[in-house]
Amino acid sequence: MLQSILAYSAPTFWLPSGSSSVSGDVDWLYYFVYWINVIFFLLVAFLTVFFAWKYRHREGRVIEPSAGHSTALELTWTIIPTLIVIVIFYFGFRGFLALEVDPPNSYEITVNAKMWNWSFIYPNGFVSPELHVPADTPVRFVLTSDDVLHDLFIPDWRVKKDIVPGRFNRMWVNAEKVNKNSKEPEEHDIECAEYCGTNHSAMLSKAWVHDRTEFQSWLIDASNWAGKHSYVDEGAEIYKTRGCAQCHSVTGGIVTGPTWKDMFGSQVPLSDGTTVTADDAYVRESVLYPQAKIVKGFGPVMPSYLGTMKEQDITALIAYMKSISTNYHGNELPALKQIAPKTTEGMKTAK
Amino acid sequence: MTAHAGTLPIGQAGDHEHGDNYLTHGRGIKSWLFTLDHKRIGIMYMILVCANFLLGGIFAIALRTMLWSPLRMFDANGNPTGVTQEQINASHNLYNHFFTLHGAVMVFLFIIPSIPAILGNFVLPMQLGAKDVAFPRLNLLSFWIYMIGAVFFVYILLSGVLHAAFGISLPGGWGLDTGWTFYTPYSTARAQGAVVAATLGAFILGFSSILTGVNFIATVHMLRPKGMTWFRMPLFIWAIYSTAIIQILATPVLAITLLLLVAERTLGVGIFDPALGGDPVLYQHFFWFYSHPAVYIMILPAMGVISDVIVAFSRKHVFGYNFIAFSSIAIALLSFIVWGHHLFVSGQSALANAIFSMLTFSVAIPSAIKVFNWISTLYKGDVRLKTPMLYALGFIFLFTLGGLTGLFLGALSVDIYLTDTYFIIAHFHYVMMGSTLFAFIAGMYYWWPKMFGKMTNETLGKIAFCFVFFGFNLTFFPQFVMGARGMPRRYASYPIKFVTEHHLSTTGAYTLGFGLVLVGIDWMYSLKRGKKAPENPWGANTLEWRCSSPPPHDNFATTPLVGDPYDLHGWVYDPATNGWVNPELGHRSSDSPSAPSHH
Repeated sequence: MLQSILAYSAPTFWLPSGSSSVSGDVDWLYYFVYWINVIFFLLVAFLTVFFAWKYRHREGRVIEPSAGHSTALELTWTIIPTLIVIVIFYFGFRGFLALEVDPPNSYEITVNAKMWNWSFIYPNGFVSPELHVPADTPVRFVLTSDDVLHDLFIPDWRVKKDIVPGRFNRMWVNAEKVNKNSKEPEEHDIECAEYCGTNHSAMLSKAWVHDRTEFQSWLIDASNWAGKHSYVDEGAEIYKTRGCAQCHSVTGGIVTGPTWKDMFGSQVPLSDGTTVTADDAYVRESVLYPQAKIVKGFGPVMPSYLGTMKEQDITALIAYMKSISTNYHGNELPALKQIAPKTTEGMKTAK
Repeated sequence: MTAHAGTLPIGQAGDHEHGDNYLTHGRGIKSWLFTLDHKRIGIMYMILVCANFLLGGIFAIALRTMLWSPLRMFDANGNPTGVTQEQINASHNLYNHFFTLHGAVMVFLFIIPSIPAILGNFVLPMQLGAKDVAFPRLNLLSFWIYMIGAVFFVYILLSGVLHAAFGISLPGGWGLDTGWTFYTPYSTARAQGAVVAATLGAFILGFSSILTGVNFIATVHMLRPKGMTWFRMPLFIWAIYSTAIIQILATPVLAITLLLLVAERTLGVGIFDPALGGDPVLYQHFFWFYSHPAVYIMILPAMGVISDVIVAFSRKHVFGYNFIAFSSIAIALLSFIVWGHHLFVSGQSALANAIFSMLTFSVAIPSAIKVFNWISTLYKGDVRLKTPMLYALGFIFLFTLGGLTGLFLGALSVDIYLTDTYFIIAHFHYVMMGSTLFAFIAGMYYWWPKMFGKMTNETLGKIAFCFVFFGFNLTFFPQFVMGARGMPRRYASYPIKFVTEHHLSTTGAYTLGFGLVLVGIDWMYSLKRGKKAPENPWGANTLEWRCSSPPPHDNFATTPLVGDPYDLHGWVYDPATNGWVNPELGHRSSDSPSAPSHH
């Protein structure tokens, strides 16, 4: 039965292309209701214009008497709409059950939403800012939020579900590829559909549909990516993909949070009036316990990465911060001239 | 026949023993602010509510202007556009404040009070042949409460402007960016804006709404004249009565919900925020338990206006009076049990979704009945396309489209795809704005001669209607298209593929705005230069047309005779006064000067 409704649909005037196991059914009902809309709207519009014109006031026109009510007629336009909405309800509910009930053997991906970025966590623990799924396979999403309401919306798959902090909402999809012969993964838009503050409209991502075998090899490659790259490269990648870039610039500009440019090694003024040196311990604490030290002039709005960011990732982030800070000098060998006098002096004192 | 500039318009007092009318009865600002006259209270509401509509409209124009094109850091080819992240953030922030204030002002300060508080106050007692509402002091109190509630929104606005222009932060935060729905936990734990001021403002405005509702219910029960049985009441009264039931039953729930929200935000009491042990979905249930019935607080009075206007300009008895009256009550009752359709994607149980979907469809039936009954009223009538009638016919178009597109959203599987997109925005603007605003303007044009004793200019009125009708559809129809194509709502920025639809929509908003300015000019011009209005300019048979225009201070010297409110037999047009007279009621026609007056 599943196979019979698995059919990619090309975009129409109203709807974008549909490419999941439920999209065909949703689109069918959309157009069913659409034609009911068209017929009834044209009927009402025609009758209104026609009567207003035909019975318009003219001098000398004899007004025929007409009935003040007609129970038969009024029952007709009570019963016919009733029957129509019962039919629409039935198909809407049937389609909803298909959307709601995930097959028990689904592959599971945890979705973590926070202001304003996405993390997709695969069964092996790998975290990706974009969603990758195998084609023609039921995939269940367990939806979690770190802060406020969000909503995972993937228009091409006709699926949407609120992400409610404190709850584990679920959603499932059976995506399919448009071009079954190609090995290339196919791309779809992901949007946050529940208002979540300043950058709600920038809380976007991509969903990629791979062949089943390609998906396996993508996951292995992606999981091993970090091991094949330097900490600085990995840190730069984490900066871009784990939501740091939404609030921290690396160019010196002030956004929601302080910039990382020249931050590492500098003296950071805090909101309680003290200052702190931005060292490794400070960065790690700020990632895991962001409310512990609030930089002066900024709000306590950063979500915690406790439990979602590995120690190795934090080390990589620190390496990246060091690489973009002129206040950090540990990555260059000190000039010999500076060493020499110090050594001499030390020796003198020792003598 | 024109009043001197700068003086209050003076209506005819010809066949009345009173030398003055309610506008000239007492002078000075105090005689207005402390009046107990339902008509003056209605006029004061009109001034404030229209000012708030202007404010909400300015926000609408501002946000549509921002949406003309998306602000992006990279163009389609991936080249930097020179726009920085800071500029993007500032722009998003501004947009979020605009759409929130547009929604909050339009809902709480304009649509909910528009027809009940302005037209209800002015017309309802007169349609009952009464001298005033049941509790005139309570009526004045609701107006004062409305003003106090509005002050909170002025504060939010002021704090936003001060912060943006001078960097001054007033206590309680600045501006408001939660959306008019105040969804938790963003509103209680995250938002920087003046959430407490906004919720207290809405809380206070709710009391104005409740007191008005209580007053109207008492008035309808107590002050109906002899002979006016329930099924001889004008349909406008049925509509206002149904609305009043919703106002007094649903609004307290909003009040409690908003207080809980304030308690959580200021005292940290965990009710809705999961970090404090609360549940955000609970908030949504509470909020929509009020706010869905509130949708019918907005649309039911509009349906009442349309019923009266269509009858007067079709010159024919309303078709199926009982079905229309009962459908108002049915809508009022059903409105309480459909709130869950706002939570189809919230994660509420599949069973709840199924039940709410079914109940939601049931509201479609009484709405459909009304539309077909209005159309049948036109059948074999003697239709006169005056300005109020154009808006009433426009209402039928827009309400039909707004109602029919609701069928997409009642259907569960399709709603899951369409909810939180522009399709919803288009749908509820067709119902809330297209329908309610059109009915409001129709009612204003219809009762304007009674209110001020002046006729409006038909030519200007019809030109304005064309701009409003065309502009409205150009603004909101493209939003159906982009919503179905996947454009989410409340987006400060958007993918470039939606730019054509946004261009059309923004162009429409300017056209609509221009049309509404013309409407305002038409009304202002009428006050200065309008032709003197006769007692009954449209030939309607409801009782408010049995006193002079504008009415005397106490409306009627003696209670007028009550008949079928929609029996138009006997009314004939009198070209001399440009109005309608009914010889059966003892009116003098200009060619029968000797007929005695029974008033």
